[in-house]
Amino acid sequence: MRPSASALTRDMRAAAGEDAAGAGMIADQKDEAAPAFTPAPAPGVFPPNPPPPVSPAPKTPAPAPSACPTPVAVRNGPSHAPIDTPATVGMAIAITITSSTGVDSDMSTIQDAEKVGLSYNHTGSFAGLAPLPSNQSGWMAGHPIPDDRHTAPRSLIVDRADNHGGNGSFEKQQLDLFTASACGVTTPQAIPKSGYIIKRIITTGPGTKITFRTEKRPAACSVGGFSTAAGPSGSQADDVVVRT
Amino acid sequence: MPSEPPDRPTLVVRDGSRIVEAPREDQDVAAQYPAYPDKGAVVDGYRLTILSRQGAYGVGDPVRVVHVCEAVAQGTKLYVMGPKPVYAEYVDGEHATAAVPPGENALAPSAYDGRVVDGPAVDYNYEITEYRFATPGTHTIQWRPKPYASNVLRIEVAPVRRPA
Repeated sequence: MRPSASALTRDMRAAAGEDAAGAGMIADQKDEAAPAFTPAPAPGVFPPNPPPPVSPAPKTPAPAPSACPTPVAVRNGPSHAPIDTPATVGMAIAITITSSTGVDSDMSTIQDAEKVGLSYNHTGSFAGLAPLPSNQSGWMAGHPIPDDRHTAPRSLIVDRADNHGGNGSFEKQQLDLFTASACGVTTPQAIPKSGYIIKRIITTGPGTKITFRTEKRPAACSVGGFSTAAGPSGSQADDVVVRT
Repeated sequence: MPSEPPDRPTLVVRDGSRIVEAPREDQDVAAQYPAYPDKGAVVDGYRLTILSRQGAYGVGDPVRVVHVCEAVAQGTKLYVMGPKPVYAEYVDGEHATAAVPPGENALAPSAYDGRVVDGPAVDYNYEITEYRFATPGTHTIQWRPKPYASNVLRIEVAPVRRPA
């Protein structure tokens, strides 16, 4: 039997150290339940009788709203934009916490904190760069959440490209924690489906051109002893031309 | 992570590659901030304040300094991820921490991942510095990353070590 996502996360955390995880941390989130479809009849075999008139399929009732709102996921985007200043390059991206009630603004009743892990998977021109330290925010209301900014010094990007081998990349993992005292959750817990990987990519050429990409994609993450499944938002990225 | 948000400020420290809750004594110092009478002056919409445990210190006692950045004006931003390094702190007029790196804004790190909060707001997410004084008398501590300057802490150090 295939190990579950949580087992993979647990094992890899133990193997890789408390903060670190490799690209393999992206655990398969598929359930192992039977497929939710009816097998088609074998070719050439027809039902003995015409099928009965099809009435509209009953809709699956939506889960009853919880009286006590808790976070069930963290969405990134869809709004995002490049950051391109004389000192920094990167991406700003919107963050929204999804409530168990289906109403985002209900998350104003919880407290949220963001954790970003140590950098890892340094490749190419970033291979010789020491891991960048982990960070976390203080507690803040879960709605509205300010944008995330993911930036790097422009001078660092030029230096890595020119003096350390051109192309390169590194990654960091990110997840969110919450408390919801109104719901009795006073010990910080990871928000389910809040995991994203932030990747920085230097691409050089043609000529002296340097392009810096900041990419954020959903993935199972483990940071500072907390683990979560991949967030629901798709991969998003912004490119900045650091030098033409 | 602190277990009692949001009544008290979040104060964390690095422990190797981990980030852990700061000692209770430091949390208590940070909790003084809202009513602290000697906050730093406002410069360009930001106010820097440093705080330490009040009371007597003896020679060799650790003096732990908590750092607070308050964005007091609309249009200001706080880079609340951390704990961030404390640049340009001076003890008895001498550099005690690294200078602000060239081209860097001490309050807005250029290498950054995470939330940026609009002011007015308060950020406690800086490293806690610690000093020990070998000589008795009055010692001063100030956090001064230009153009900002915090209040000046005056630490009275007695000739003998304070009983634990």
